[in-house]
Amino acid sequence: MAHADVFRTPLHSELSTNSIDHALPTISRLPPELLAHVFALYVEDATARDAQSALRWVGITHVSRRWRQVALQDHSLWRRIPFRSGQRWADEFVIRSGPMPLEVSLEYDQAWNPVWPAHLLVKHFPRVERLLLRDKDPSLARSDVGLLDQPAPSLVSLSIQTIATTRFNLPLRPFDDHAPCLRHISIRRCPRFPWTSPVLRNLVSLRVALVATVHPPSSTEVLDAVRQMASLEELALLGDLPRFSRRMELPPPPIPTIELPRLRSLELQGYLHDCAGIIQPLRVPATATLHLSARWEGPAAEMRVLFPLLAAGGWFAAPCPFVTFWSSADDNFAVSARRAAATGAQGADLDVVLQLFWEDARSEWSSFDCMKAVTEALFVPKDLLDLQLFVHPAWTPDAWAALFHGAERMRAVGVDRYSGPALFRALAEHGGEEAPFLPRLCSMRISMVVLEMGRDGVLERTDAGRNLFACLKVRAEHGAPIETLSMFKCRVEGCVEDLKKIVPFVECL
Amino acid sequence: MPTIVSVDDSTVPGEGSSRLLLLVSSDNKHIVVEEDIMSRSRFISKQVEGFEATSQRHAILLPFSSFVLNKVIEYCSHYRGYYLLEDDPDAAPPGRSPVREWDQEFLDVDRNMLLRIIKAAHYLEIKSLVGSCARAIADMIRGKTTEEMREILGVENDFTPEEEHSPSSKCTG
Repeated sequence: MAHADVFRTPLHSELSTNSIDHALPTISRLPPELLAHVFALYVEDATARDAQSALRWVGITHVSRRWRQVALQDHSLWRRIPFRSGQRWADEFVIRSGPMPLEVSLEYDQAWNPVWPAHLLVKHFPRVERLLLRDKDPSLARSDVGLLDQPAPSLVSLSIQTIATTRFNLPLRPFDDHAPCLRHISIRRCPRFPWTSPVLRNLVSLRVALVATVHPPSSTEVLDAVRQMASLEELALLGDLPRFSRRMELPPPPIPTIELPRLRSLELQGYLHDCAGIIQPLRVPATATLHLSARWEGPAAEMRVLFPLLAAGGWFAAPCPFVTFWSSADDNFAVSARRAAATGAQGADLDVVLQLFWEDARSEWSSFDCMKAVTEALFVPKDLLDLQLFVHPAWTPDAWAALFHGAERMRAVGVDRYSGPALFRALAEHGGEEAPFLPRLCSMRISMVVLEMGRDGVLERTDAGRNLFACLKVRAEHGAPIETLSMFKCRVEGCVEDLKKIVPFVECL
Repeated sequence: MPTIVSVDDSTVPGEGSSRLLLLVSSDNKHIVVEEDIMSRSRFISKQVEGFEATSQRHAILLPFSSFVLNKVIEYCSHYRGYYLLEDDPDAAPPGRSPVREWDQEFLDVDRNMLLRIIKAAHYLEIKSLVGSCARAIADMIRGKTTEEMREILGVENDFTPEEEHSPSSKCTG
């Protein structure tokens, strides 16, 4: 181009002296901030992958003088204290981290249960930004030396993952009521949660698995605490939830609502009425997701108490309402469900992903009767979109057809090594009929099914594999193809390519 | 600071609706690129703001080769119109650096090229590309011994024997 000629000569001479890549580049010539950036990613990756070898990354300080200088001057590299590497290294890291906030992970077990880490931390607790306390042995003695009583001006995230319920109890006034930056709490096995503490008010995420105590919190106390957490984005309350009345009135009586305008996900796990009691007052965005795992041992029809509440709260407008029912009383379920069905109980008109689990199923037929009765009692099958099944492998194709009779909207199903082979066979045998069951089924999730096995160096398809291929082919031939197939922990050695010829999207996880 | 040379307006493509920039590499190659593509570069954006203040058009002289510059332009073209958090000057830096599949393929180049790209990205203040290059380099040394790191990245061992064998805790830099 003509305009370039105007300044080509002077530019060329000037640039040749200024060029940053005129010589063979070496990493030693990178500016220190770039080298530090590389180190930060390397350390982040190394510590995330292998927490037990927290010192391995320190090898970068032995590569060259410049690497050592850059690494030592970058305080942020040293802020994850490797307590299990010994007190000398822990002290060294605390010093080298300078003024940086600290990330602390104390994971105790039978072989490592010293007191000195807590003593060291007490001195530097104002700098602690993330604190994880974990034990892997219920017999370990308490050794937190009042760590959780200390003011925590920098603490953002607290996670307590213990087996022993008494090891790291949160005091009633955690952090001396001073943790202004605290945003995330996750506690497993918490016998006593400080629901009235002011440090909870700025929380963005709260995940607590409560365990039964002599003095459980009142439902009012818990709801009042949640009401104060207006910034919550994630809330998970699991285990022994505060007790609500076992007599649910329909429609529920008006109670003060709790506005959680930022909530993205709610997870509840506990007895049915306690879950319902927490859901009832909540007002959340329509985009919030719900994962509900409700346990109930009473009459199956009473499980329906949840659905008006869920519908009123807008949960079923959410992207993925996920509801799981648990029962420890298989026969009780079956009998109750039959009774509910016989008295004309109707399911809510809802789109719902339903998971049904039965513990201690005594025989395949009782499980089948139970499931069929419950699905009929609780849900009109035609409203089911997705069903995750964990049932006995001896179900016959006719049993499957009876279960899914009328489930014409169902688009996805999840099966495991027990239910999968039986369902594949049923779908193959009923797929060629004029009105096959599950006509709109287009997605299958399969976990832990062996599709191919090696014998004498040769791969052979198992019965489950043969039936899966048969059902995929027959559905494709009859205009009801499966379009996505997700396989989790399945043995599929030689057949993925063959599956891809029939199913457009196949993924192996 | 970059060298800025005045350019005759009539000779610069881009008059009219489409705004174009003239980038000049250290090997004196002239590359015309749409301003929108290079807006991910804080350095270029600042230069353009300067142009607007003086109502003059300029060529932007860059101290790296056209080969490297073209790679950077390819990156910026790919992400044209995309929002990347790292490149947002008003956003807090992300907690963990994201891993982008396309970047991994794009940066599947030899060591020397990778180092040239990261330096260019640093110069041009394209934080997302700096981050992806840094991750690529970090990946190269992941799980490697000290000696292997030296070999992979061409680093000379300049420690004295005493320094080399001293524990890191004794080293104060």
